[in-house]
Amino acid sequence: MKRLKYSLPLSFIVIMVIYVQSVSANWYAGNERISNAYGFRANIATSVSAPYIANGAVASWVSTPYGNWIQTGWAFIQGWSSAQSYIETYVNGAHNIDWKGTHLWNTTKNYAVDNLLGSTNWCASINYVTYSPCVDLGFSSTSLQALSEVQGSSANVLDAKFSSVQYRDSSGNWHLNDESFWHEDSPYKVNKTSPSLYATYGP
Amino acid sequence: MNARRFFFVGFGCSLLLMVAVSLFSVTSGKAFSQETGFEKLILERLQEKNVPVKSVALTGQDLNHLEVILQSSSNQPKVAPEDPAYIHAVQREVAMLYDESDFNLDTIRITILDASTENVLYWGEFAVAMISPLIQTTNITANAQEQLRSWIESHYFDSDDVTLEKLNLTADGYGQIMTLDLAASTVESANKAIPHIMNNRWSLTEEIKEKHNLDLSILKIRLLNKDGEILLDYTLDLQLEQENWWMDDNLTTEWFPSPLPAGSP
Repeated sequence: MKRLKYSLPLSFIVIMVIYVQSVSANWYAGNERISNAYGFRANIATSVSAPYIANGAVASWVSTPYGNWIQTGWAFIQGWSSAQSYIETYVNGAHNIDWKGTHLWNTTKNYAVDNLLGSTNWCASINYVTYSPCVDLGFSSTSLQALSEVQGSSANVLDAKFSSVQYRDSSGNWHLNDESFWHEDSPYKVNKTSPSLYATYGP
Repeated sequence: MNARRFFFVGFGCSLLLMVAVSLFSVTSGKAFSQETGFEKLILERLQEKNVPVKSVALTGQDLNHLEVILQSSSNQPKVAPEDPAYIHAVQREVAMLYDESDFNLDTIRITILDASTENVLYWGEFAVAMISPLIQTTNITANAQEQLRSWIESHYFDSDDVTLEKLNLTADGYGQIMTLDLAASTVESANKAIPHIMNNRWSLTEEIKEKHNLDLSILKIRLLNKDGEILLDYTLDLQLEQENWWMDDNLTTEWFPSPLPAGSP
């Protein structure tokens, strides 16, 4: 009877966890820098070949946090044959994605978001080349994220590598990221070597 | 002899002066004509598309930046549902005009002011996009449009939570534009169906090309609730390779990459 008393709530919790995982359709894995900085960049590698996508997409990116944001990275959407680089912005209700060409499998590109010092304007770069759009986000420094994101199904295969993750100081100099605030939405995990070197994978 | 030398020196100087004056007139005239011509043309084109332009100006030393100021109907700190489509319209119209003319232009800066024109809701700088009229437009009968609507509904809409009310095909001289008007009773019911519909937006355009021989340049999707309020106003420009949209704050984000709130668990 005592065993039943504890096992019933436990079963309920397990069922709820499974249910939440099945209806929740965005999963994140990677690292976040909580201290404010003026930019974030990372070398982000794609998997050796096209990963299995049951539904939706996988993406790996660097970004300012939710609010007004700018983000750049690669995305692989169900039905596509290759991953594509993109720059995405959101400013006071206006969403924009600019697609910037193929990111080949088993290759690395450097993705960066950074503030135009002395202003509240932010731009994104791919392989050290700045692309449009640049947007006014309303702030010059913020916490920053270098994450993988899975949409649609937790059966989607995630396999990405982040290296040389760097933040930018108020003088415009880049430094290896030295802060850890890890995100690991089950069933996705992070293989952590350091705050500036890690791999995201799963399920 | 002195008179003859004086004549030739005078003639030479006059000739040089004429050449200098002509060169100055041509260069300043070209700059003047570029400035007024481009501004006038782009203003006319945007007004034809009902884009609420407040001003258009060429700036920069070489007049190679285009500053476009739009006035939103919003009096909130958020742009109006139609504003992202205007951001796209400015870029597309400039790209088309750039393709048709020899104007020298590098960037477009778009500012959106709120309804009072006192607050800036949006500022963005874009490189001028390259575009060419490569997509053939086709005349499609009303009957064929209805058949296409039914085909899309049966292949891409997997529930009754969102329905495809209307399909409309138009063209802008550079390609075919397909507008899909969708309806959902509430935002909650929309959230059940929108991830599936929007995650398949790319394959939809490819299948329409393969199976219906219809090469789209733009896909527009407008989703309204039962009260006629806009939940999503979305534009995919396949030629400019960009997407612009506005959506209700409660509509799901499960179909595009989006960051986490700072420090969220």
